[in-house]
Amino acid sequence: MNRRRFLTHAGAALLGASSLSVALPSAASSRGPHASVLILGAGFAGASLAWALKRWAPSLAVTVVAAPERYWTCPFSNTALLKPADLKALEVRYDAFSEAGAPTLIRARVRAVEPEHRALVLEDGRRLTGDKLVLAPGIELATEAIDGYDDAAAARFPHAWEAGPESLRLAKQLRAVPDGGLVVMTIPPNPYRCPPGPYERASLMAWWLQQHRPRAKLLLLDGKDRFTKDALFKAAWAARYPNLEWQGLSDGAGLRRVDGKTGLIETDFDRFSPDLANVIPPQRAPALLRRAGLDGGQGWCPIEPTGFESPLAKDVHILGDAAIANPMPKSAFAANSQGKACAAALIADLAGVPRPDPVLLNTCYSLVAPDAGIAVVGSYAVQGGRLESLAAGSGLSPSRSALGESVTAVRGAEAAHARGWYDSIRADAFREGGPHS
Amino acid sequence: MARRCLPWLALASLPLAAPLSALEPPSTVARWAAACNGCHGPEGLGSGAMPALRGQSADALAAKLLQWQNDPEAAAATGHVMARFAAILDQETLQALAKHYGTAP
Repeated sequence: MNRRRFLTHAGAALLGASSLSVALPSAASSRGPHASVLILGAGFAGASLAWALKRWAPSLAVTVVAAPERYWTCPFSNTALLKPADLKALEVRYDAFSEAGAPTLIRARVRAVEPEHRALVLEDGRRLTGDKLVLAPGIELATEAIDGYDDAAAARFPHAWEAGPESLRLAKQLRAVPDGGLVVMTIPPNPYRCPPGPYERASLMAWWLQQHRPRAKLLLLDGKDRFTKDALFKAAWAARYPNLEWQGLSDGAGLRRVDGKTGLIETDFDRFSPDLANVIPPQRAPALLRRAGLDGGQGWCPIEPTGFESPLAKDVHILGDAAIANPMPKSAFAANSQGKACAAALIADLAGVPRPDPVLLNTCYSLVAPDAGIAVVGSYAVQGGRLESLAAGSGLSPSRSALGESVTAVRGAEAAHARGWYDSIRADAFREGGPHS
Repeated sequence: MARRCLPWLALASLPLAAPLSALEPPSTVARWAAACNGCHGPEGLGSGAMPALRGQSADALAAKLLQWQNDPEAAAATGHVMARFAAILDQETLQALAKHYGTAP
């Protein structure tokens, strides 16, 4: 019996045991003598939740269902554009899940979510349930929202918004751009995964072009007028990258149509025939959740902020990119933070005591060059039943003008912090080391 | 009698039996430390340029957090990220975190 089959059977056995326990009378709770949590997704939200539960409540039966496909972290995947070989180290292998005391990991595709039964129906027909069901499936690309986006467009315009082979495809196409060529990136309106991601990618692409295709140009066509850390990014671009131009929605840069056969990119005001177009499509919660009605028709799933429980389904919690957790961004750190906050809330719910106030933080580092980083920090609290930003606990890296001559040293220190941050959160979420450790 | 015994028999056969009453939500300091570990790594051991919290003295950790709290502008250049988080810690949590990670003097 190979490891995957063993885990599969062990998972089924655990779930069987916990379902049995639900039927048992118990003085402790109507839920039975012990409880189970079923999690969909083993990205930063799902994996962080699973490990936090095992840490704080080792007796809980924790089962994670994740797609069998290989998984590379989105954080730091933009650096693979500079050095494609670096992608290898971004793959999560889930080795720690086979150790004693670990959450049970089942690699399988899910056919349906049944919120009313707190159940996942797997593609092989198995039906798993938990006392709590937590959904952390990430995003789905809404490519049909772009006029003309067909198979030819998908083949011609890499999105690289899920890291992995797409990142390598984009890196390869970047190297095929001739000197004097034009590179276009289209950026969706909010909300989408990793708000500063396109601008970090643009910075690193501009850096690469500057080194290797000094006469080439990078044009950003943005579906909005403001973006996160925009003043910091724009100041870095003005100082470093004369080869980069940003156009916002008011400049007519809204994406109208793409043509995968001719390579044409059409905006509200203009048409371009670039040598490479990185088309980042708009996004939404995956179909599994929307088909189950958990998005309430909004495309993303509402949650209440103390435990990230769906207001549409009792004992069903939704974490990470798929959830509407404004003002928290759809970031890896937010997902990690939500996973831990949700773990505390689930334990409280199962124990029948009030949920503690969630500790919700965000830290996003972005590279504006391989040796220069900037950061945005956020802190959040539940106020009047809503999630609100705490002004005192939120902010940005200091501006170039405030830093003066120390700008190089400070941006350099933040680039080093960004690498340390990656290794830390990677180890924290998945219990395995990153490339810089 | 037989009916009353049934749950206990069933429990005995379960591999993971543990009373729900044993479940207890993590303490405030445990939940904060979990958040700190997002940047500082499991157990706050740090990685690369992200400093280790574990192993510093509790007094030094508390002093540093207080310094950020009292003068966030001075931290702008190198410690702006931590200055923001220090700003929202109450004194009890700040001291508890310093003790959680730090070594006794």
